[in-house]
Amino acid sequence: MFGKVKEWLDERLAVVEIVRGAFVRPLFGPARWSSALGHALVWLFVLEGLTGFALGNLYAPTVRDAWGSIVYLERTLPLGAFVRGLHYWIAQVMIVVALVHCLSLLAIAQHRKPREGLWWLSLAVFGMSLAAAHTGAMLPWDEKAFWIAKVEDGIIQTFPVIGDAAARALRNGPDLGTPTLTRMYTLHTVLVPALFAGVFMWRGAVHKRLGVGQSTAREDDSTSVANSLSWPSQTALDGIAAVALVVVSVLLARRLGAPLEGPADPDMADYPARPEWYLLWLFRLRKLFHGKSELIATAVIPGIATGLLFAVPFFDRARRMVGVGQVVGALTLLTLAGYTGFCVWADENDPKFREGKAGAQVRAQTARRFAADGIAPEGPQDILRMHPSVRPKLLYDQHCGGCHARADVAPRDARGQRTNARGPTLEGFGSRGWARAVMVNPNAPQLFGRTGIHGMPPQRDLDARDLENLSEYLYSQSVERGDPAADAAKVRLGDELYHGTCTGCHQGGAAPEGITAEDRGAPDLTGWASRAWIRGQIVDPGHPTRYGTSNEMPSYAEELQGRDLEMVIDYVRGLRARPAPVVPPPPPEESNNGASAESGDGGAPAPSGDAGR
Amino acid sequence: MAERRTVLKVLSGCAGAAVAGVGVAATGAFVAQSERRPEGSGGASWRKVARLDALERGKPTKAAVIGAVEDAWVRTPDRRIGSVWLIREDDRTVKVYSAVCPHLGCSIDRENERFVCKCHDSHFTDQGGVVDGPSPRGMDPLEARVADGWVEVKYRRFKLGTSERVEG
Repeated sequence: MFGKVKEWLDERLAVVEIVRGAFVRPLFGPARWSSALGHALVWLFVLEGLTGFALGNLYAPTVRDAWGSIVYLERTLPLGAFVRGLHYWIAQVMIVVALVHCLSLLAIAQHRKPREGLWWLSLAVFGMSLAAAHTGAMLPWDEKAFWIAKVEDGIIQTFPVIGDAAARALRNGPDLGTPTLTRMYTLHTVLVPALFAGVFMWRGAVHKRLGVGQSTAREDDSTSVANSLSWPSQTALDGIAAVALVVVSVLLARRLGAPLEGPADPDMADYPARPEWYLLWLFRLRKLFHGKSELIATAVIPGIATGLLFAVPFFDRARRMVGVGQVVGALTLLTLAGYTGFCVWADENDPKFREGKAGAQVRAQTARRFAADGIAPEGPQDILRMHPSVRPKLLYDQHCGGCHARADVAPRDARGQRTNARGPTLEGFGSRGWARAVMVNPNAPQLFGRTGIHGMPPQRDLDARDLENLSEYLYSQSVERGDPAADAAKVRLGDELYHGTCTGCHQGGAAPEGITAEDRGAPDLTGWASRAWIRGQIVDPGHPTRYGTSNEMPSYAEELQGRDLEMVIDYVRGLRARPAPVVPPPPPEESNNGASAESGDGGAPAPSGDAGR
Repeated sequence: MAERRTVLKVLSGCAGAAVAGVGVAATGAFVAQSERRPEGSGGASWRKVARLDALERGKPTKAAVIGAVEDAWVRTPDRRIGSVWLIREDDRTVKVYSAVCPHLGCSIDRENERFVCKCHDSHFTDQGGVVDGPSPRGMDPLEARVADGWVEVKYRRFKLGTSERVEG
């Protein structure tokens, strides 16, 4: 029955011929594992095509979209992460297998006349598996891909004569960017697979003519004739080898997945740039040659090694068990493999590298977490800086932290002196504790001591209860929706005290009798530490109702606008939860000297401490 | 008869060459790239990078250079087009270096009071000179000025991997 169907189909669609064309070759001697490795690569290649097709379904080769599309694909597609892992790991396995296959060809001397072509085609398979993996490694446009592209672009530029043109052709434009990715993408998905398939078909055609598995080790090998067909004995081995390699890849994919670092960030200086593992030897080799001689590492040595490998058949005209060519070829490949292994080992044992790698890991995880909230249309490049969970702190550190740092980390100048004009700490700013500290000793170094604002004397005559009530009142000024409420009774008492005592200097509210507007130079504390108050302080700290002429803080109206400004305000508001500085009252004589010396002619209105009595 | 076969062979050859020629031209278009140089990312204009009073004297500070990033058909305004290292000397002068390592273009960092490029371990002095490592020249200085309390820089990029400093 089956035979008849087969016959019917073959007559019309040549199915038997196709299957025979694909699998049946003359076979010398028994089926061999070395040949099986070579054939298994074809099976793996087909799987790469299928997994690649699946990935291409969602991948977008632009600088803005590449990284995000991969994160999305891994997160949302059923099996997405697994398929990507499989695609990645099969590619790595193919490199190793292609190298081992070349070595095994040498071991049974399958490279001599008339089989030189098979040796060259097997080298080509090795080269194509490197090219496929390498073009693929660019596509995620993560930190690793970007730095690989960047460094390689630099290396290629240093090549004499063709350097600039070649680098430009690979970049596909004046700079690395989306055209680079589209080029890598078309290379990876069209050109490289097409060439790869071409090499496999070519090798198949040569096998058909010369047969599979013929050794050229002995003189009489050349005259021997193929004694059987590769189907089914060799085909079965091929299949077993392929399944074994796929199982290995599946396990690696399940266990490790495909690596994906954080999005490319050209500004990241703390990244330990390395090529993919199979090019680590080139990276380390380059460290040995500096300046002009770097070309020895980047071009001369790889060129010589490639030349030697292709020349292997020419060293070995005579039929001996072990020829010069075999030794040269095996040494070259083993040196490559061994040195690669050494490079991996050296990196693993380099604490600085591991530290940098760990940092990249953290960034990758954070970026992926942030990406789950959606990536901005500008792309993921700034995702670690722009996400609402980190941006406020970064903005604060950049714009505010230089002056409003914690007291213990306040920057010092070259001589180790604390630098001048440092603002008060904002840890606990807006809390009762902070308000209390300012009343106890406004000139403490953590507060206004290192600013030009020295108008306020320590409020020595407030007793503990007064301080508590005033702190509560000041705290109540900043209470907004969602904040813990202030104690109404204390606020009322504090309010009375404030408007009886403090408004002698502080603006806002009615001035006590006998006090003129000129005496009231201290800032208006109405709504103190509320969002609106902080906004005013950032935008116009020198406003007459703020610190006026004694102000030294620049306006940040230009640097901080819109969302950024609101984020910084939120951040400063968040600092309230931190412990405010606790300052002891200053010793009497020192504070008098200090306050009067600093504010004597400063123009800042400085009513004495007696004003409140 | 032989003549007829020859003509047919030549004809086949010509047909093949014609089709191949179209194919080569088409792939040529793939290999050739746009020569367009992005505007706005060059060094012609002064760009504010930092407030002078935010810089401590003698202490190298990294700052972002903001401009429009052009990537083929996408133009994104107000992005970082690069980074610079600023060293304030006094109230009028700030020394500025590009943070691009002249070796292969990685980003220069600061570690243990030294400039370092972590890609290939080039170290530089505060004056931008090479201490050790593969960098073929010192850090690239940039033109800078102080205006209205701001440090302004003309941001440029230089050819990588060469001992002489060539813009491009």
